[in-house]
Amino acid sequence: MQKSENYLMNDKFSHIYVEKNILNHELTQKILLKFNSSELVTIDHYKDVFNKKSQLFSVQKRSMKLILAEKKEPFLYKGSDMCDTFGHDNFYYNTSAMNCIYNCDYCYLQGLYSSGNLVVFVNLDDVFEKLNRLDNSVKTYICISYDTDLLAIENLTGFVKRWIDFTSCNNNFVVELRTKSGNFLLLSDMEPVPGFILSWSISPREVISLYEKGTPNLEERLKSIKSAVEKGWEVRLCVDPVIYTSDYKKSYYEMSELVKKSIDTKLLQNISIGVFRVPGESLKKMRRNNPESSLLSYPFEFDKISGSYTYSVELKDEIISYVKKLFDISGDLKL
Amino acid sequence: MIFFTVALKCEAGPIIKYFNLKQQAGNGSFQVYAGDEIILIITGVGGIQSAISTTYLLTKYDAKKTDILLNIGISGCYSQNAEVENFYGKLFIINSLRDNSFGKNYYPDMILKTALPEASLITVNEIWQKDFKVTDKTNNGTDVDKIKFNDFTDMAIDDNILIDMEGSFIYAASCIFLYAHNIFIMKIISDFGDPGSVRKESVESLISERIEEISTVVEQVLKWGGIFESESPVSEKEIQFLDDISHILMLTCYQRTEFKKLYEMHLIRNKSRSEKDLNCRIFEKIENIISNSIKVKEKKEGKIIYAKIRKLLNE
Repeated sequence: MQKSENYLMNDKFSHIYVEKNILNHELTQKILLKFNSSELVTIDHYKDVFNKKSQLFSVQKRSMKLILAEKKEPFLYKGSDMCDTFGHDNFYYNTSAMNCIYNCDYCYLQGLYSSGNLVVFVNLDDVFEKLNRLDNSVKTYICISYDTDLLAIENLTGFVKRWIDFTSCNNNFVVELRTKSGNFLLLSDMEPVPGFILSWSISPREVISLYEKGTPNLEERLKSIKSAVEKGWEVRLCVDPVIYTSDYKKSYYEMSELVKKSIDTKLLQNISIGVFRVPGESLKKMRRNNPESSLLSYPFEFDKISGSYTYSVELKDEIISYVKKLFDISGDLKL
Repeated sequence: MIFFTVALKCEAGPIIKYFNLKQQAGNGSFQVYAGDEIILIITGVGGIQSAISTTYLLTKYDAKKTDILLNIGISGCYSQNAEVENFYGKLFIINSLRDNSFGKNYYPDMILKTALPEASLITVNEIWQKDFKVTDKTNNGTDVDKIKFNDFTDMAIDDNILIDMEGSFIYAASCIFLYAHNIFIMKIISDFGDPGSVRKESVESLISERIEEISTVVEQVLKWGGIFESESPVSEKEIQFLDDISHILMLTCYQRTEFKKLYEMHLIRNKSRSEKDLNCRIFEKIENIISNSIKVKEKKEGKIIYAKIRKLLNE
């Protein structure tokens, strides 16, 4: 699967599929202008392309297409129990895009979607309008970058800046942006907004090179984190998922040392740690999509409580306590 | 394997000649031709005929998901382009298909990079002429333009709309058997709303003139097929070994499948190690477990030994 006959394949976003009803939308036009040499194919509904029969996620990932669509309700989804809510009862996530330009072996999206193409919902205004109508007596925690990496496609959509603007005008929302991107520079003209959390996922160099294809390297991510922290943004560090390898202790030790050397960890809002875990029904699909992945060929165990495949309880405890120690974290973490 | 579907004998002729295909006996009323790595069927005209023939071809010749299908044929062209006449005889690769009878849309995976221009294709069930109109039974019997060209042309985006009578049916049938990225619908423009003017001889010559381009795509897809073929790391010899062990341990069907899967995952996990060493060591360890155990006379004894092997493979 990793042979390098890429010359046989069309470039990323060689084709842009656009729902007819949003063809004249401002963002659609802006994106089309950016990709003016791509083939434009008009469609009735994004699902005609995204959910079609007999597609192969891993193949499409190697020549990704862009689908522009209109998001219909619901705009908010209840957050999964497998995610850390950081003490917020009202936990939701929003999907302004489906799929990610990166291609991580452990990513649950390959078990969730049958397509490897990227969908961008251009009507973010409708989401904001809906949020403005929510009961504002309770603080709502919204993750906006679960099924994608919004910062990685910021120069395409501008969505992160718009979410930051929204959060600055609505203080009853806490918004988390999770990313692996090194694109913080794109936000350098924005002032930090209380309640908007920039949450970076980091992994050791070995894990990035083996299992996080297409992502920025550790140094680039740390550079972005450093800039964000120093500018006063609320920054969360996610060492999640921790991937077990025979010499994981060495890899994670070296990474923690580099983190401590690069950024003042006291300025971080928190550090979140979690091991690899995927919903029960996803692992089989992920293995089928990526049959040569050494990561996915690990004999994971099924955890009945969370309904997910993960490492054995003993190994999970060992990994978590080791990584916690590396970052001088005491107390319980929700894993 | 590369499968070709073409509607007419005169469309097939130049392809059969170029790839040196020979007619295959034993296909009843289906006309099938084959050569090295290529099998071609003449589907006949129309959606139903072409869907049946495609299904027959892919079933009879045991198509794998990773096999490739090319549909080649002539098509009419509807275009607002003032220089549309220049399109005559051009070969297009199709990026969207509309089944006009059922209003269904299909979008082939445009992953292979070809030098061919792209177009949309509408598959109709009647011969299309300029001013083509049919009665829409769902709309009080009034005459409406069923093709709804405006859906495509209002936006003045895609002014190359091709029309045929098979494409969407062949795509839909192929999708059941093959991966979407391995299905290629390619059309040569033969007329501009006057299909009556198209003669058998001119069809042959249109295809002949484009045969080099078709052949280039075939060469590309032959290389392409190899990229996505994911070979199992387990060799025939190893499968035999696993089968022998399964037999000795009286494993159930489920256990046999699981055993092979665990063995394969073990190999993938440890692929950085020398393959030969790894396999020998695992073989040896499994054989050791067997030889240090009692001779299995019933399934529950086999289950106990299998549990040890399972543990070994999960390490």
